[in-house]
Amino acid sequence: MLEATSLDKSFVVERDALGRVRRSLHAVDDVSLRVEPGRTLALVGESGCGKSTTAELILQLQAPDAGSVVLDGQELTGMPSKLLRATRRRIQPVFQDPYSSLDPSQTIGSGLNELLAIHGIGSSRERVERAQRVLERVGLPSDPRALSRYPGEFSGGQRQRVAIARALIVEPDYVVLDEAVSALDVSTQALVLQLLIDLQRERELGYLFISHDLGVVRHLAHDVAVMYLGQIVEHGPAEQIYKRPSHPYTRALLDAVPDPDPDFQHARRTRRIVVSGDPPDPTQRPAGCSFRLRCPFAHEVCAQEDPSLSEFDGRLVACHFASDVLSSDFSADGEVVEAGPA
Amino acid sequence: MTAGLEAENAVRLPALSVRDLRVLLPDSERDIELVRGVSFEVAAGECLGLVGESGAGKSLTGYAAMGLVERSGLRLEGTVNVADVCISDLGGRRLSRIRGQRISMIFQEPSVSLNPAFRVGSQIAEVVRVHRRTSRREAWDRAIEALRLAGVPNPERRAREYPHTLSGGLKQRAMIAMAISCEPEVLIADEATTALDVTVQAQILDLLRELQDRLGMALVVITHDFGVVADICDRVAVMYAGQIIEQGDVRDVLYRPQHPYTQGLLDAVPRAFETAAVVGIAGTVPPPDALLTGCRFAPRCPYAQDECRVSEPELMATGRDAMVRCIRHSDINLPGVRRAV
Repeated sequence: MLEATSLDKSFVVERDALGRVRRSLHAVDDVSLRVEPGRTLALVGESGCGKSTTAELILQLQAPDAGSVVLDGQELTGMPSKLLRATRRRIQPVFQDPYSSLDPSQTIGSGLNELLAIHGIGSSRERVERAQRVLERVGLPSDPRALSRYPGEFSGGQRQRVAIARALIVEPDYVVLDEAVSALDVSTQALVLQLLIDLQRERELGYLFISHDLGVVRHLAHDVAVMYLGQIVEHGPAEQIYKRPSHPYTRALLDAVPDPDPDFQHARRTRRIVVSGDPPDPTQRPAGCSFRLRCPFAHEVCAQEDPSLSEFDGRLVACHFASDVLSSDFSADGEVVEAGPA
Repeated sequence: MTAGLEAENAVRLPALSVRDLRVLLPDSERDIELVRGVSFEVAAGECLGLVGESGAGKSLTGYAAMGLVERSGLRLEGTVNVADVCISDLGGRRLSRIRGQRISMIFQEPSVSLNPAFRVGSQIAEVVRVHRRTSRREAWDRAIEALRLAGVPNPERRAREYPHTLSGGLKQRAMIAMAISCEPEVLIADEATTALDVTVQAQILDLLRELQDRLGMALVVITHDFGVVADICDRVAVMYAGQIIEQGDVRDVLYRPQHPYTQGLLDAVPRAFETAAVVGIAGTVPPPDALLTGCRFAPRCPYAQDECRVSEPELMATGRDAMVRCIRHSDINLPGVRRAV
């Protein structure tokens, strides 16, 4: 199990002339997550919500200010780098942009070989065989000529397959996928999604899937955590979150996703939560609940008390009015029209 | 009599009419066709979606309709009419006079339209002054009014700010304000909501709908997202490899598609409210210089037969405002978009 507990990370945005912090950004605020073998936890939210920083903390690419990351009982935060290398093999990243995450001057084969060499895996002949096997598995040509091709010779979808091959070749237990299919056209994206699902089943992989795309997440995630301004505001089984969203932000996100069924879309677009404005400046989070300024459910208590993430209806939610959110309907102008008993 | 005839014409003429549009990349041996004969019409108050994947030629079609491709060394063939004016024959200053006034365009990246060195309000006022004979004062007032129409809160203050101080959503609104400042008859939106967060995208789609109602514009929405098509479009043209392969009323095309590629795209979209497994389309879009005989989708098409590879299919009319480029369309029965649960 890969478990992050109470992760915290702030960045200094601005200092005064004496070097004192004038403005800071609380990018990750008390975030706890658990990724289990063979399952996918999706971390969703809009740009700047802190989801990619969370991924970097879990991958040990950045050190958290507080909190811990534990892999099967072993604490990773603060681990000496020599030891960390061995555990790193077990948690591999796949990033959004295969154009920038692949070295354009290195052939696919030599890149894969280098990864194995770093982790001291196999003889040189075994490494070539492994590279061919993994390329074949992700649906790419695997003959010796294919190994000597450069990333620039592949299409976008193929490059993302190369990135997945690079993550898989060291046989990880967990894969952190940060917007890994977001840049792909749908016809290709669907094929890569299916590949990810098949690989997970085959190898019992645990995925941390970071995405802004709630459609993609619906098709991959077993569990979903929704992030807003550095905090998790709702966290639970995907089915619950999609069918019975109980945080107003989760509901606003889902309401805003346009669906290609025209009749369905026309009916729902007139009855959605309308959140006004853009997300506030993350360096100036309001006191109390950080969503309250955009929230149609906000009351005085929301300004006074930051709601904690607590059990509600089979998931965790950070809202004083979760039961109202769950049971409310909205008028055409986004006003709450009825809030019956939960 | 003449006035009556003109009024009648004004009613009948589509706001935007594109006929056999081709965009060619001149090459030493033969020109490469990037857009291969695209035709469509959009009436005032109507929204047409141009949908397809990367490389379909949908954005290039939009740029070409604006007369924006020739500067980049591409050659344009075919005609583009805004109401009764054929803008594809116009050059230089006469085209500039129409562009921004009668037809304008918004983009995925607001920095294409907004100059970082000038205040938002001055840039919009400049557009107004180029097209209308107004005083500076009037142009500035009009700029503020355009910002207000585009839903920018506190427009008097925002007008004095520089683009970089605005959030992504506000920049998008400022760009829209600039595009509608002269109340154009046609607005082309090129992936204008693609880079936005989903809650902001919903706001901008609502705004476009509202502005269209208010100004009676013809709207062309270029997108890769069938959700956006279902949300805002009345009609849709699906593009593949530089051509329209299917066109018609949105409900007809999405519920009863006639082209296998349309169905393939619909089956590939991962949806938030529907959990049936997504199915991809193997293979890739043929490059524009590929020498293909027959249907350009045939190499990837599950329904393709030998006859599909013989000659390139024409766009065939199959109903009132319904067209498809598939010789097998009457033999195959496609299920359309799955109903959301």
